[in-house]
Amino acid sequence: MDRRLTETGRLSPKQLRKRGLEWFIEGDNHDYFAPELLRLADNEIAAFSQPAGELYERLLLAIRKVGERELWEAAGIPANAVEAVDYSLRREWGNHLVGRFDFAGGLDDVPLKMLEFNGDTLSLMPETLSVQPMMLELLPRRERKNARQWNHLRTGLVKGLQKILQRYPNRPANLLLIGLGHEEDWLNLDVIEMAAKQAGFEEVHRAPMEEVIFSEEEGIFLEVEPDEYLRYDFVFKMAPWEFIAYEEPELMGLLTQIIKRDLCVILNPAYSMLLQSKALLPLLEELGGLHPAMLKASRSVADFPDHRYAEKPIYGRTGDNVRLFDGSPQSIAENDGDYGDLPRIYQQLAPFNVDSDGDRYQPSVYIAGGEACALCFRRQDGLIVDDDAEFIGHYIST
Amino acid sequence: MRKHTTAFASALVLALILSGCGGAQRVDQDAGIVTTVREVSEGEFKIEDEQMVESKSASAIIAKYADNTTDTIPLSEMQQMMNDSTLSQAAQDTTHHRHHHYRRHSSMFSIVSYGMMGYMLGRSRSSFRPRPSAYVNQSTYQRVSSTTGTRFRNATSRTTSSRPSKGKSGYGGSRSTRSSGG
Repeated sequence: MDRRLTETGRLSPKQLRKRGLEWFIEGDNHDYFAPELLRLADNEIAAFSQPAGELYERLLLAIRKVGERELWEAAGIPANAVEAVDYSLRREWGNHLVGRFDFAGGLDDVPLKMLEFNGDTLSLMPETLSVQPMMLELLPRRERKNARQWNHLRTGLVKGLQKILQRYPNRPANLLLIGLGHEEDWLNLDVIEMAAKQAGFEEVHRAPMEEVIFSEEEGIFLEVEPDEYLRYDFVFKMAPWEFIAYEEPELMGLLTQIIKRDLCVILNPAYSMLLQSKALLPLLEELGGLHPAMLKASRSVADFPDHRYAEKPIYGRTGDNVRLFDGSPQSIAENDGDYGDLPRIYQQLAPFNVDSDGDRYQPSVYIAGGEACALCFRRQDGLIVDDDAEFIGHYIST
Repeated sequence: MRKHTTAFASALVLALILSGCGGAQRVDQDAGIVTTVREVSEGEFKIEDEQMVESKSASAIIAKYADNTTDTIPLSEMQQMMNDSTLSQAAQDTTHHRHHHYRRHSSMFSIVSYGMMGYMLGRSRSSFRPRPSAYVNQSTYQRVSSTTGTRFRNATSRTTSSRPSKGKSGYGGSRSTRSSGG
């Protein structure tokens, strides 16, 4: 990996502030953006884009079969979300806007393997879309001349949102972005807002979920002045479906009625919960056909008698509650976190690209508007890629 | 990203966001535009008329070509043609006919988008105003602006409604210190 790294230095706080992105390097995060860029050859991009596109197709095929065979429990769908997910699969098919694959390997003869698909809510969008191109400017002049990035996230989002608008031509193009209050989520929603305006949404507003009014008879509203309410025809939420199902069951019931009565189009749609669920992974062989980039996965640890596996909660995020075992009953790495109560899956260990410092590289590929469209990397000093990972930009050198 | 759990920072962010959306109390309602364009010289179009229609989906272009033929292109078709990658491929196509066809549509679409059709194509109603140069002449621009333009602006400012029945709020408060991204 070392030969691929080009020293660039770090982006200045001023450069990031100009784009409203300084939060990413504040406090503990001052070293979040790596002072290097990862060089790829032109022909190496297909090794990411093609499998990502194929895997996305397989996942879609598999979740349709989950619906047909009603394998809700096996796929990790809580009982109170089944009605919404089932309806969404049948009536909202095609509304999945954006997701991100996390992979291991992919470079220098290390095979590309899918670790998971963030199919419902996802982070890293502002870093990928806005910060990565800024990093390209830091390259030494001779490297910069013909340098490019595989970074069409905005185009993918715009296309996806246009498709959704065309699908609902009689709905006013107003969109409410809902967050749960964390700054990082608002920064990711900024990306959706930018794309939505470009796609033709005429009004794009945002509100923390606590302020949003959900009516099973009339739809989704904001109170904008005392006793004055605005109704929204489209919503993009940075609140995971499983969070709503587990933590806000009453809201899950309201949203089920809202989508069944066609009162609002909610993105990502409820069927995204199946894409997000790691419980889908053990079902893929049976439902979606195998793909060389899939890792063996199971709901039973007994399927890994050699004790070499990763243990993950079915709705875990950012490496929380992940444990790695490499041949002995004692874990070689483990993270604590908020997802300890969730059911687990067990997944074959995947080799990562590693540099001479021992740091691991985790490539991520975005799917937006149905197509693989952008690439980014994170780098971790440790075995589990988590919140402490650096974001490292890439460039394609011809 | 690392977890920021400072309650003060989260509260501040929340307050900023709330104040940010407080002023936006109007949402545009459904209304459409039918634009009549005339090909004034080969491949060059100007807006001759604009009429308001009840829904955005009824929006269309009526194109009057120099050879006295006419064509109606619905908004959905126009958006599709604008997005269609075959259009840009056609632009590179060396055959005269396809190249000509592409250029003709492309120039027509850009002219109509400088008129009120621009609003249908995503231009902001608060910042965009139709350009006089897109119209066949100054008097046409003034006529359309004072008739259809005024009607359109009035019709598309939706006032707010009263409290929705059985509306409930206050969900999601338990999760404000943790990112939801994966």
